[in-house]
Amino acid sequence: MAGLMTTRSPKQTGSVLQSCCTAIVLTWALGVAPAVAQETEEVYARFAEAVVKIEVTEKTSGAKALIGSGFFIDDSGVLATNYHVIERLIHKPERYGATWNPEEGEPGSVVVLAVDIVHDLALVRADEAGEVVTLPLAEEEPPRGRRLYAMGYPHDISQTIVEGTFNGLLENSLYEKIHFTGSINPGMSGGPTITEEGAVVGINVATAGEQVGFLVPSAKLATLISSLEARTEDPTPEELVAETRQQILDHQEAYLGDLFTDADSQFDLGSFSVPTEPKPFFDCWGDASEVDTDVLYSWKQHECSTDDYLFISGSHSSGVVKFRHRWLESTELGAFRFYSAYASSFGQNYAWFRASEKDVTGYRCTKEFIEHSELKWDAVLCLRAYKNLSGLYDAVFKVASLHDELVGFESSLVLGGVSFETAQQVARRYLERISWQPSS
Amino acid sequence: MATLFVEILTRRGQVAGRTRIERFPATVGRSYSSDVIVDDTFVSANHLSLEEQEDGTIRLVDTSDANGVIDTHSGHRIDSLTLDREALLQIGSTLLRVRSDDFGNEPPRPYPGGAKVTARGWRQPAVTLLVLMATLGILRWSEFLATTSVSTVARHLEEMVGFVVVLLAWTGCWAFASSALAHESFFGRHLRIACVGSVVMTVWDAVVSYGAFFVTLDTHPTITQTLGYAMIFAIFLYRHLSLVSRQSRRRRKLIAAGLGLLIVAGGVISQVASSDNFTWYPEHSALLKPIPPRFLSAETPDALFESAAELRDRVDELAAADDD
Repeated sequence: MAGLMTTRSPKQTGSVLQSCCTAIVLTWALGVAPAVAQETEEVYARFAEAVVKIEVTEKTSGAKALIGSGFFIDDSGVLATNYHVIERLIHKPERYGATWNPEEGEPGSVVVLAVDIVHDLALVRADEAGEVVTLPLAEEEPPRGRRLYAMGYPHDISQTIVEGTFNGLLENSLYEKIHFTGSINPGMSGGPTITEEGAVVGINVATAGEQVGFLVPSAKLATLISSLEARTEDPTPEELVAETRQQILDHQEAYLGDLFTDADSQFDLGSFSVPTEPKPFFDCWGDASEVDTDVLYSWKQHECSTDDYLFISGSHSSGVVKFRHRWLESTELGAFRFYSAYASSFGQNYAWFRASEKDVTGYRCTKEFIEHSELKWDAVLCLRAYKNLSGLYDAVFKVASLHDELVGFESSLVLGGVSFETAQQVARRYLERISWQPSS
Repeated sequence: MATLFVEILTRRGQVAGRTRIERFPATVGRSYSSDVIVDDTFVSANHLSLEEQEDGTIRLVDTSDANGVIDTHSGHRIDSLTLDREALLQIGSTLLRVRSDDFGNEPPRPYPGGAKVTARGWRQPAVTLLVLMATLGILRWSEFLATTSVSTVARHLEEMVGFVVVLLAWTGCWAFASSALAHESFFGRHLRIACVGSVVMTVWDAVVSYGAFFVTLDTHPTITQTLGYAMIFAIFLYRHLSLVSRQSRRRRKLIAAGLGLLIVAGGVISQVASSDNFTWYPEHSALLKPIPPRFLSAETPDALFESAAELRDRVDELAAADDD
């Protein structure tokens, strides 16, 4: 899924306008029912003023760095938007500032009040907002198929309303999201998707391509709004970073706390029983070597991964858990040549999280021979620390069995954005779930 | 009465011709009536003469029509010169060395090539060929152990030819140096040194790799490997130098050790520089060897996870160091 903020160069404007025009022509050609068009027109007329453009600017150059959308949730001028739209204000406050820009009228500055990094939400105060139109949050989930209207500033063109339908919550998703069949585009991030009465069902957050959009359920926003009551002063950027750290820690404890405890989610790979799909939010798939190749050994593998990630900053993503089991065997290679292939497979990099040198340290590893399930294994544990979010790590745990000259089994587990204790516990349980079943 | 030797030298300083002069005056020139005939178009028919003085010393006098006599020490043209024990001169384009018969000789250098087998001359080339074949076999075998796909004969041959080219190029350089400085190429001996050196390097690679597997190193043992390479290189460099250099044994050792140290320093510097490099992925040692498990001493998984606390401290320190 791609985030929906816009950070494009002027060169892209041509293609954006072109695709925009194509969309308009298509809509006209398909002949939208006049009654629906009238309804949309009314929704736009009533609620357009509640939606604003949020523009993040680079202070030195004064140039626009990215844009997103937001909407008023109360009379005091509090705007809801996405965390990823205003993230730079808390990570690099000395370099970036932001303004809220109504469709008509003067822009004003914004101050970040609260963030929810896990659900990609933020609340900001629009200074000098005056009297505003606000949008209430929907109290209940609409029925599937209900017509909804997504609003925002796609590609920084102008305020836009997009029709679509509610398709329920994504099944098997780690981070709860609504599936909205409507064309939401970069720049609409943080904008509302509302019913015809103006109740916010979700907040635009991501797209997976044409007509497949994703919204953060408004219930998550309600929780964030309620957290505002406890605040007496505006939080500093440092306090907000500390909050995001705590949110990630709480979140990983909640979803990894009982990972790999279910002994039923097992899969047989070669003579090993291995864990698979430990939670519904994992996607698993398999692969095997081709038969007709010059390679003199065969392999088959099974891997699982969570399908979404946590956006921490423009250069840093986290929150993914994935693992891979691989079985290798050969009848044609001798022991030395087979182990050459086995070692090469074991050395393959399986850990990839987007992070820059400013976000994380380099990995450091420890290696041991261990005894487990009646076999001896080469085991590697690697960690790297998050520089700005202390107590959070990316962890890699790898094991390779050393029981046979012409058969190998290796397994890798990668945990993104976890505490040290969680990494230890999950890796330990993961290993316990791997067992050798000789010629059963 | 004095006796002199007039020597015609090559550009490299080797003696191309030597004439004993016992009667004076003697002449040096292009004409066939000269005592020392110099076949050089820049030399006059009667270019210089050597005359005995009353006090018994020999005086050299320029009698040339053109180009004169140049003292190579000063680079200046001279009209005459009273000879001491040795003089190095240029007439036309020819180097002349004039020495008295009491010129002292240096003690002989040990012959680097050892005994020359003349009666059984086939043996050395045969041994060299055998060493070369054995080396190619070992190097190819070690490459073969790292391949996991079907190898064709053409590919085997291609790699063999590659090895041979590298070995011959290396040997060629040393043989050239030997023939320039020690007047004999010692090609076969240089080739044998290069072969044995390559095999020892390959064996060292395997030793390090198995050693690192047994002691479960976290990262690839680059520094140990480099140290070994440097030592092996220094030893074999010394062997090559012995066949080349006019230097003393002590000096050759120093040169070899210095170059070895240079390699270690280079290896260590690149290791230290790259250890701070940021990588996206964990660079752990992925050495796996087909060793029977009973030879491996294993810990419990708990021991591994408990030792991870030290790992956490290491990355925390890295993060803290960066904050500073």
